[in-house]
Amino acid sequence: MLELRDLHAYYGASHVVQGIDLSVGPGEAVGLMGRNGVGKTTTLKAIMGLEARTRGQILFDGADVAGLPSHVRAGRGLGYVPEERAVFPQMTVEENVRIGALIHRPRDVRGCLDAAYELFPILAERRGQLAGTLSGGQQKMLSLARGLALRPKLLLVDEPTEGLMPANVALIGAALARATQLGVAVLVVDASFDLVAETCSRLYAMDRGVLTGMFRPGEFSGPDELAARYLGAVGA
Amino acid sequence: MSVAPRVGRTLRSWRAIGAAALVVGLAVVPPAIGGYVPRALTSYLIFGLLALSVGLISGYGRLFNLGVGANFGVSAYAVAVLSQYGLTNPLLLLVGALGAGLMVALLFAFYALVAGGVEYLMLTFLTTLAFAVLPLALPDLLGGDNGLALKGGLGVSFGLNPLRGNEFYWLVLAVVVGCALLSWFVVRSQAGKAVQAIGRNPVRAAAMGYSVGGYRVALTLYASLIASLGGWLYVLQNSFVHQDILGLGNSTNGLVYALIGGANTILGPLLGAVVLRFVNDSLSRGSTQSPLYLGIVLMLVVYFLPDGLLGLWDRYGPRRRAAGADRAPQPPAAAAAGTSAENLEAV
Amino acid sequence: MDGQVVLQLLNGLVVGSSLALVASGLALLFGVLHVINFAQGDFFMLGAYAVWFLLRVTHNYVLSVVAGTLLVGIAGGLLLSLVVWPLLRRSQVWTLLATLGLSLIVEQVATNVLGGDAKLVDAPLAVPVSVGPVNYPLYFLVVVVVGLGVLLAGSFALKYTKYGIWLRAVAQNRPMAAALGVPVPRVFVLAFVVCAGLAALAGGLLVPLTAVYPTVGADVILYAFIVVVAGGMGNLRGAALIAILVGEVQSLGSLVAKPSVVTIALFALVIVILMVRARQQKVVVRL
Repeated sequence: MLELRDLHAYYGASHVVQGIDLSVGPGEAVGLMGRNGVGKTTTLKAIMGLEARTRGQILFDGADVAGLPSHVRAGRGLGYVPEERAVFPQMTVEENVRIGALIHRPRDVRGCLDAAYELFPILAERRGQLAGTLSGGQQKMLSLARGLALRPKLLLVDEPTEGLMPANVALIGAALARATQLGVAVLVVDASFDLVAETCSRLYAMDRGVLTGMFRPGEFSGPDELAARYLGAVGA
Repeated sequence: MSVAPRVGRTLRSWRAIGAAALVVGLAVVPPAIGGYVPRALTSYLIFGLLALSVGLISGYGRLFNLGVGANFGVSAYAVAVLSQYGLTNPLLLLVGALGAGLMVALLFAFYALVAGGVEYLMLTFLTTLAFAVLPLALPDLLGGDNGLALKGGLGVSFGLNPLRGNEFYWLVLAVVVGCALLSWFVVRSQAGKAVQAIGRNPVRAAAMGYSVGGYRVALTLYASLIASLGGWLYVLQNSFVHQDILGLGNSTNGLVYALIGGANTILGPLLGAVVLRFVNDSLSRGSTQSPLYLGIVLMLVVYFLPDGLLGLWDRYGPRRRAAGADRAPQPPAAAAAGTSAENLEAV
Repeated sequence: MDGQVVLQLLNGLVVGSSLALVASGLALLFGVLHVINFAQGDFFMLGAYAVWFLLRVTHNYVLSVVAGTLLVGIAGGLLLSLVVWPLLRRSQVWTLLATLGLSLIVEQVATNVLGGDAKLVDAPLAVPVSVGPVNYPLYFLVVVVVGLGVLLAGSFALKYTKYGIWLRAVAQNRPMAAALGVPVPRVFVLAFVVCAGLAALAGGLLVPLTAVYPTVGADVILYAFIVVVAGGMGNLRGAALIAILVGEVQSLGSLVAKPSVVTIALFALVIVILMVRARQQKVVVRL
């Protein structure tokens, strides 16, 4: 579904991503882990076509999308749930979910909304509330719900559990699991080893702009071993 | 690495020699040519001060200000008004000009403290528009839309006649050179470097301990000094003021002159003012097409010359070629995107 | 109520509703693209010229206004897009200077081509209608209704139509809108066209009041910027309401003071509002 070949990404003048090869199969859930600042978010943004300047190939569903504007990539089935500022603050929760639905599944807007509310009941409760007034965690759930409800071919998710209570982290995990069940491929960046280990079949480790390894979650006893061996630091 | 510093030093001393030669040339040549040349150049240099003021505050300081013309105009008006009330001592009139300009500067300084980016821009924009209307609101004091004449004969300009002889021209040249030298020193001082650092990245500068507000106020007041001197010389040369010099047009002119010359330099705005006003005068013999020319020039600068004429020199001139061998390979497109966009990025 | 006051109240509505159209265009464009359009006054002027010209050809006022608005809106919007497009990646300052340069050029070219003399147009529907103690021309009451109607329709469209939602999405969070598939370039062009079109509509409607000459947009743009700045740069509803208020202040103010004094008072008021609002945001470092 997605294949990155020798991808380089620049943020301003800094060479943040220095040549990575990564792949995600159809319906597969893959994780990307690393310390802060190693280039994980830049990688996702590069795949989506936001901000970063890139070199190298980004093959999505067989075609190289490097150089295409973001909205065209979205139209081909690429979804994105950013780490921050993901919602439209002056629109209601329902309007937020509807925007994507209107574009990608105009005939089943109601279905999209129902699917989103089913994943995160709290959103249903607050459907008329302005998204900007939701708590940080609720905004994250909203953007994930919105992204999933669109049934993209591949969903890029950046730190979905950051700042969330354990109960909500579990909801996120359930939502991601549901995504793979529905055939949505997922590339998720997160600091929570448990979440990634549970939902992903493969895991890439990243350090200072390059990938340092690829493995299955079961190969490690826990996050500390992973960190020590692949993430360049003691403790994830 | 061994070639570059030596070349740099040589070029710098060549620049100094060149600048000195320019000053000497300006002092000697126009009077030698005679005719209208010294008078025209006087006018261009006076607007050079306006442009320099804009260049300092918007170029170095990245405080994008559309109202410097108000400062210039208020100083000019102050001199005219004081002369109408019988005050004709040239030094006192200068003080009046500086004081009036200071009041506008304090407004701008206050804006810089409470606002930034777009809000600061719009505040200065509205301020200059407001000042342009002021003569209409107080016609008895400020002459309405007829303008105001300067009274007091030659005494107000230290006995120098702006219309005859070269003394007035030399006075203006001296003031301009003085301002340029002073600005050159200020920009290279610790304070000047702090101002530039604040302009490029205020958050980082604040984190390093610089008082962002304090430096911005200081910059505003310094730039005001130059604009006020310009306004003072303007009214001395023209013996007349009109609301046109208070408004957006004049501020915009100053900005375009600074941009086309190169807003990040001292010489740039002065050069821009001289070149543009000369071109304007040559092209518009008898007609009033100057807004059109200004608009075209502005568009050319925006699309093709964001660093101004001096920026072109910097990018393609000798120093760049000499140092080129030493540069590490740059990431693709980063270099080009960096330079021009850096230049005026207050908002 | 005193006849003079009622008259000025009505004048204020006429001026205010037209100003609201122009200011809304500015606010929309700023909200969606962060572009400050200094050429807005020129679209007002071109709208006026278009109506004057079309009126001589068609002798139908409604048709002239509609056609003029569409013509100037679309052509102006496309011109603006072309001017601004290459500069979108750079800082806002450059787009501002570009629209300023455009404005200077357009105004001078218009003067050269169309002549600097003022062309007068008679108001259609010159029937006086009695409003309280005064008789007011029906046409201008229609202008108010049309202006407010367009604004209400626009407000509805923004909330419920696909393109309206897209405009708001791009204004509130451009990268996320693009990542969701909103065709951002198309939305940009739409914003330019609507901005120019609103100004052209206002210019066309006010022709009987202001006459048609190359700098007719200059005063309007001044007040429009006061309105937009006072309302908060991208705030549409604020712009519309404050425009009406400014129109009333200007008209009623003319009963007690010279127009220039009223203008300065308005400036001073807005400058104060802006400073107070800026302080309230309590950001430690002002960027």
